[in-house]
Amino acid sequence: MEPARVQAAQMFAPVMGSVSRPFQEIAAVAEDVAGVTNLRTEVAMLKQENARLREWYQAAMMLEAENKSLQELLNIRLDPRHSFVTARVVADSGNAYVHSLLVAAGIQDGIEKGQAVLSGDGLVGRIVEAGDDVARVLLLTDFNSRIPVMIEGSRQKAILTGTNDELPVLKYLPPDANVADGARVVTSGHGGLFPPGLPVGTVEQIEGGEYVVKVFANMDRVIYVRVVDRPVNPNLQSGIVRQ
Amino acid sequence: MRLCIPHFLTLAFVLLNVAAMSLPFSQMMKPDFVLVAVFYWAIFRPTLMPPVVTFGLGILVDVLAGVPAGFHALTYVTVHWIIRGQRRFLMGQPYLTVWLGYVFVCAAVSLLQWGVMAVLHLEIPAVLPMVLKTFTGIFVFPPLVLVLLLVHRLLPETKKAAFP
Repeated sequence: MEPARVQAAQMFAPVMGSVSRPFQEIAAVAEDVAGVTNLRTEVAMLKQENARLREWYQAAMMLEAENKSLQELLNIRLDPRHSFVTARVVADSGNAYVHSLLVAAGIQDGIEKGQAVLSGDGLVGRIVEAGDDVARVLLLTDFNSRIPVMIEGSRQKAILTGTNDELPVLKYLPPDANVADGARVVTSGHGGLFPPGLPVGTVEQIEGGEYVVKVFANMDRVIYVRVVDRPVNPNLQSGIVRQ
Repeated sequence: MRLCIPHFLTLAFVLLNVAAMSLPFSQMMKPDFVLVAVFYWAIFRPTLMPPVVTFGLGILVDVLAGVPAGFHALTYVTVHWIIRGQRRFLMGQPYLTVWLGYVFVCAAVSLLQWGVMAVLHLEIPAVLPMVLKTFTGIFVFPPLVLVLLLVHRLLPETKKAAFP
């Protein structure tokens, strides 16, 4: 079934792209208009944020210098840098029960099955089907989505499981896991499909003691996505000390 | 040539079904445009969309949307089959009754698809998207029917105007 699906998607991708474009233009204009109405508050907020970020910038510069000197001392091998392919979203599943996107880039652009897909804000999902110039992304909110993640700070590992709802659930957390509300969740890189450290969202505890993740990416509004290259060799990522 | 127009329109509905609208909650709330066409033609011009075409249309939606094959196809064929059986009754009814009929069909389809997904995954899927999708489906019916009605009028040998 998969080749037929990819073929059909490929055939219809240009026309689906044209049908999607006006909607995406309207969405972009609507966002701009909404932005104009609360320009004043936004400027005030940005000024505050800018002041805070300047402090962070100083801190980052200091830490970078410190980090560099420590790395030189340790002779550590760093994670390879990732490269991206940016693609436009041409279609979605149009269905409340399956959450996927079709993007206008494929094998010809270096996209492979299994690669991680990001929006500007964070992880969106992974590539599940790739044709020559079109690929399907399974969103992390989909029922079938399972992504190995890690909670920053506690370094607690879990599997992010889609529920078809807006908030995916953290599964396989040990019962005594100490998870702070609002902690950042990033990809753990286990299994070697995703590079580690890609931002996913923040943890929230819901009734019943279950932990859900408020994802950074706004999957409904996403127009362009970035497909991340697979790590070169996941086994070499923990760092090797050269003799 | 004029006979092709409804088919192009249905194809446009298929594309609308899968087009990325990039609007808030669009994935959750996007209605099933094709279902309206299936419902309308099953009542007012069943020869235009026989079960085979309806099935093929469903498969196309399945393939493009990336859902399990047959998910929409079987839904559409079932709706077509049931509505075709009731068409003599529905044809003579005022607009509101037809709309009410669609409300019933739309809710039943949502529930059926929700049930199929529950069985497929052996887990209870979220209810809210199903409810939202049903409501948007109900409210998108009048404008879509208006378009279908205009196309219907263009067709040769229209036996009866759809709505008085």
